[in-house]
Amino acid sequence: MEVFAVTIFMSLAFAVLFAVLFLGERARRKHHSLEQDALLPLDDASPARRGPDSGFFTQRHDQYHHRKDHDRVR
Amino acid sequence: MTSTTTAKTTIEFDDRTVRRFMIASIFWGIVGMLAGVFIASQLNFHQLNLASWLSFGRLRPLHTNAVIFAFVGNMMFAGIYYSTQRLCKARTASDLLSSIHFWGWQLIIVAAAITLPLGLTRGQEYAELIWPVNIAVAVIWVVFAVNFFWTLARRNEPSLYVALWFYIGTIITVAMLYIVNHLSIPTSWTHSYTIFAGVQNGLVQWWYGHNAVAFFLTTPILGIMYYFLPKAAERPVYSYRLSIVHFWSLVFIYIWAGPHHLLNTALPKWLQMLGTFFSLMLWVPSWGGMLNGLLTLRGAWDKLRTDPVVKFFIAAVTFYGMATFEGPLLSIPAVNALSHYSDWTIGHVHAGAMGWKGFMAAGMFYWLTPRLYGTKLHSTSWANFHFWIGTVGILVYVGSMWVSGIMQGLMLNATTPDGTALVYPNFIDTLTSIRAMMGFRIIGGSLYLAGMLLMALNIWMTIRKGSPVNETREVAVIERSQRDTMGLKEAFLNDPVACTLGGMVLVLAWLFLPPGADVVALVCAGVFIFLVVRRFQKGHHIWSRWHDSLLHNWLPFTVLSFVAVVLGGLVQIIPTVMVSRAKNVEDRIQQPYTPLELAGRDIYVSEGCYNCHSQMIRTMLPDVLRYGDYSRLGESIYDHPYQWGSKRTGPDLAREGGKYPHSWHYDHMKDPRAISAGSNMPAYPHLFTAKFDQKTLWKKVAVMTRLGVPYPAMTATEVKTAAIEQGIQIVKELEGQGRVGTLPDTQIVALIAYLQKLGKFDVPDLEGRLKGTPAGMPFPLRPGIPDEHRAATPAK
Repeated sequence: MEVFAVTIFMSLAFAVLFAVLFLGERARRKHHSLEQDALLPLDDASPARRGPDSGFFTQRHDQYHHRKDHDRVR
Repeated sequence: MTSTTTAKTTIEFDDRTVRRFMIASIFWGIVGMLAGVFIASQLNFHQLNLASWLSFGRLRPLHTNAVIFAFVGNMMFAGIYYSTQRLCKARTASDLLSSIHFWGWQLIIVAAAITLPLGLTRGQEYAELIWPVNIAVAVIWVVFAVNFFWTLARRNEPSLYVALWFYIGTIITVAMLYIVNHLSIPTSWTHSYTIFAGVQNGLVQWWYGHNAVAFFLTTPILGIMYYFLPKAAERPVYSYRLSIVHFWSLVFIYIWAGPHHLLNTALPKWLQMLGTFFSLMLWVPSWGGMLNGLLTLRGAWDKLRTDPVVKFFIAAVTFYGMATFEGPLLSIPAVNALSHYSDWTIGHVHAGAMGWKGFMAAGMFYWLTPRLYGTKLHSTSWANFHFWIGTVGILVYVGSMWVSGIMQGLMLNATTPDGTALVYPNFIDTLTSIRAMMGFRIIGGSLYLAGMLLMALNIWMTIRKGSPVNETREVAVIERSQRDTMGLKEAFLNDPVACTLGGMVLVLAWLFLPPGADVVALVCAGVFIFLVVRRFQKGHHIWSRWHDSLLHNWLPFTVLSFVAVVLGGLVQIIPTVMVSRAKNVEDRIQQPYTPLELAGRDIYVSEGCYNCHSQMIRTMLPDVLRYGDYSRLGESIYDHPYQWGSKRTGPDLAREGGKYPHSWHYDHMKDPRAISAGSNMPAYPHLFTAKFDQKTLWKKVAVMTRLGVPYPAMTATEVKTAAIEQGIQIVKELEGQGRVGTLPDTQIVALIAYLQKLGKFDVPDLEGRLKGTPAGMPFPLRPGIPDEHRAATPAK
């Protein structure tokens, strides 16, 4: 039974510690550390997507690929 | 990162501009390096000077301009456009400005590629382009600046990452340097005279030239390093705090170091000492930056074995460290006495250009291409092969230039034990001894070029495999009120700014005030610094908070960066430019050029003779024994532009006038080997048929007069007549020496007239001049001119 109480206690203690650290981290964001800025180049929060370029060169490029595909079909 | 988000939006980055600049960089890089291998070959095989427009003197500026402005310039723009958008989480402000920037820059490069081989030049290193192109460069640079700062103002990330600081430093400093150094008065659409002459021109030129290396070839590449190296290593930069120290100390110190290009010359000693002092200080920030780059790879060194991008980056940063160690070393006067004018300097700049910039470019392109074309790199093994062939090429090139420079420098400076004669009095002997090294130079350059060609092929195959794609990303939009909120008072009226400027003022007072007062200023500076340190220890958090805020506000940051870079230039240039000409001569004053001699001088400049010949006899025994009495400030006082030079592939010409008869120069220009067996100088047959410029000669004289050269009042006809009459006189003398058939209006006649004038001077009325000078040296001229360290004894 004591083991059960210790387990509960430890789990709660860890949960509270986690909550405190989490909130602390949140608060630190407002007073952020300088070194956090070093992460900016790696800050790809949302996954990057790549879409086709619709510029002049791309059109030429697309035409080229289209012609290649066309040739291949023939 | 500190913002509270209000909304999210999806942005599409403008990657087309990045692709364009990248491809342009590779193309122009190959052109520039091809020109480099070709001119290196010309040094060994004079026969390769195939035509007037393919001669060494005209192609060498093409090589340097192509590599600096076309290869590194386009590479820098590619890196800046790519990283700025990501770091600002915003698309570039204006696609139109991006397009104008790209096409404008390429047009400028094409204009340079046409005008330089035609001999249209301003005659100053890395500042050769003619005035209409200068204006185009300034306009396009402003377009780039507007686009960049506009993007910063629209950013969705409050913090300005370190890479952006370096880009800001680059943009404002290059604009300042370029505009000041290119101030000229046009004489025609393709010709102008710089407003600076002699020592002033030398000082301004190397303030520009040295900082072109610093702010065009280094700071943007450091910005690129701070963005792309962490991306490639997949870990943040080693120390962000170190990067702050790196940035501020680098931009502040670099700008002062220009005079180290003029050590042991007629440049006043106090400026030479400043140049040396600040160059030595540069060791610290440069190595701080290098270590920050190298240690970014902590825990990921295994990538060096597998990832060619990391290989290129790490080798590039290592070359940066080597080059920035060597630079201060070469700025020590004793070392410079050996290295200056020799191939050692050439080796030094190529270690920086090929190792640092070239490898950073390669690493960045290999990293970018798959992302810009949505595919994989065509061949990693080709990239690896490029790395090794490039590395071997650099080592062969740089190693041979070290050997060549040190060997020739030692030979040129060698004197007999009693110090009264030269061991190798014949310049050609020293040139012959480095022939093998000049051969290795071609091999090293060719290997490097082969690597570039392989990269071009690899990237071309990658492009064919993929298709152009623009990255889109969802970002949190931040409100205007969440960035750039720093007020004027908060930005500038605070402890850090006041203490830094106060310290600077006191140190400058020590430098400039008359004896007695300078000691007081020094003591005050010491006390002030002590108090500042105490104050900082108590309230360092205030300083930190202020700097943190600065990093969220682009405008105050830009203004303070500008103040940091402008100080060094002001302190060095203003006293030198403000000093009157009468005080600027020591004991000799140059005789103004006659109209024909002026025309000849323009031909000398146009043919790029300054690329191989100096006109500055240094205050060193071997120089004086070899070339004659050391050069005085007053002996180039009317030289717009100055022609002191920076390399002696041939001997110095400062006292060439009257040394040989006209026929010697006539034969020498026709076939240098007929006079000096073993010479590698090109022949100039076209000078014997081409006419010198009579049409705009009067205008050139008028502009010179406007610049302060004491010409008598002359009409256009009088100018022309004076030139032709002197030409007839020279032709007569040539005929007397057995060289018949030359016309008096040919370029060779004008060039002979100029060469025979070199070193001709008058003795100024020293006593009268000193009478007009108030007792003591008033503020702010005390450290100026005449230089107390040079014995200005009246010439006999």
